[in-house]
Amino acid sequence: MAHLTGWWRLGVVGLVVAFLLVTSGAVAEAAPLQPCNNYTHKEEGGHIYVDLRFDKATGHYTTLTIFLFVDDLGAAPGTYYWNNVLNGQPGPSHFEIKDNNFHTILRMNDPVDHWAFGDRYKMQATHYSPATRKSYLAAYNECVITPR
Amino acid sequence: MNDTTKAWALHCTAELAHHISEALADLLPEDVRVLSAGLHIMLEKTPPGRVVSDFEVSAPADFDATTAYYVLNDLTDQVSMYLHRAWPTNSDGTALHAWAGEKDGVIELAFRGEGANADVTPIDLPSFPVPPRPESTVIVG
Repeated sequence: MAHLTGWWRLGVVGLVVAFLLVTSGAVAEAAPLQPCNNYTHKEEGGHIYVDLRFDKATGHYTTLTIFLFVDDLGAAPGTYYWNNVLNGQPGPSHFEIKDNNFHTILRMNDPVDHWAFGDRYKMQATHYSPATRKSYLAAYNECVITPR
Repeated sequence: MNDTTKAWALHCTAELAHHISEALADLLPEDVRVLSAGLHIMLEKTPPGRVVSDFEVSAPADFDATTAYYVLNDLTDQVSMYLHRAWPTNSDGTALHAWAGEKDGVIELAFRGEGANADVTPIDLPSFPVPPRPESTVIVG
């Protein structure tokens, strides 16, 4: 009887552990995204910074400004290839050859990648540095475009 | 789709466009020169300041001899358009065509005869060493 009880207890503990793992994962996935106002997403080799800036044309804060910073300054010069991703949908690809870190803007009334408040924004980018012979990837940042 | 080699392929193509622009300097008529900026290639009529043709090379998914062939071929077409005749030609006037091949990480470039003219003397251009592929990927954002 004691033997069976031990197995029963082990089963209960296992179920509890499984339940906690599943629910903690669900909670992590459901964590709300941060607003794109003064937003920073840091990874091992650099960070993305997004902010909402005033646009003289609209008279409101309707210009997303996006920066990609590579920590290794020597790796910043090179070719940047990127898409603006809105609500999971990548827009047209762009590329730029830069001698420094990367910056772009996205206006609310952009003819192609236009956005609305409440949309999710992601900068999806790759960069090649001939100096370090490495690729640099931005794919994990994401924020919600929120009025300020 | 945004993969980690795309930026490298664009870098190589821009470097190649610059390489070809310089390589053609001695073949072009005296009043024309080629300029490149990224994937943009311009034909400029000298004295400097008048751009007579401006086009952009297609952004490649990868970089290899085929990419190089397209860049050289597109540029050749632009020159022919400007000159209103086949270009380049060899000493007896036979039209030559863009050619590119890859050997041991080096892109070989030339203008060669085709078809019945396959045996005519080609014009070899300086080879283009392919920049090394990315060795690793660093996550930055």
